[in-house]
Amino acid sequence: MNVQQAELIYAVVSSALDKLTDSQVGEMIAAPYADMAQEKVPALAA
Amino acid sequence: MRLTTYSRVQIGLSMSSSTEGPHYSDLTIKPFTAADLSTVAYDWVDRAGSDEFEVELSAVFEWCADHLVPLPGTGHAMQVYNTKHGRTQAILEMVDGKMGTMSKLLKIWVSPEFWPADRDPSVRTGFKELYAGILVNVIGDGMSKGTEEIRIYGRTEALLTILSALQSEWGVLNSPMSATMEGRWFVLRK
Repeated sequence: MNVQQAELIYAVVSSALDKLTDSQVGEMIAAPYADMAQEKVPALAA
Repeated sequence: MRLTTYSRVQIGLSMSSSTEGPHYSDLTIKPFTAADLSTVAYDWVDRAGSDEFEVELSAVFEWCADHLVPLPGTGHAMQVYNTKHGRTQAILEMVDGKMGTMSKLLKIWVSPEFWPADRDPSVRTGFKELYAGILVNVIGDGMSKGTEEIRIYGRTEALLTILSALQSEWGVLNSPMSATMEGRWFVLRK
């Protein structure tokens, strides 16, 4: 990937991120942690 | 793994609380050593600064400790290291195919310094730069390794929207790889 391609990917993703609401950003941050915590609960209960 | 018994001073980490985002070229995606993981765990728990997050963080770091070594077809932990700031700003769950034929990005755990991004505009900017930088580096690393297929999972509706936007604009890049959306997957294929 050359610099121009990298810059284009960055610009597209940045632009899409700019359009997200606060709650969508919060979900993007929290969801992976929540997934892992949920996976841990059955293991703790076993 | 006990994560809360060491302070940042004990392990010699910077007391910086900056949430400045990285330029994508400052980021490198690399495997963890056990020592790296321990350092990052203490740093992140310290930055989280609240017991309510201990369960979430400890679950992630326990998973990482069990998944340090990439094995074909199995999820493993990779760190997104900011070479400019000298710290790990995100952890990725990735899966590699046999002989480097395929690379999947499944999850992105961002450092607690970015957790207020949903309510603090200054942190939001850093979060945006980090997230965009991660996607640039995941795709760039896959392409530079000659990976035949790169997949990124759209875990949330928001990430799905971002990946769909990238797929729509992909033709502008003049890349030898084609981009499609397959369910919740953004797929680049040679």
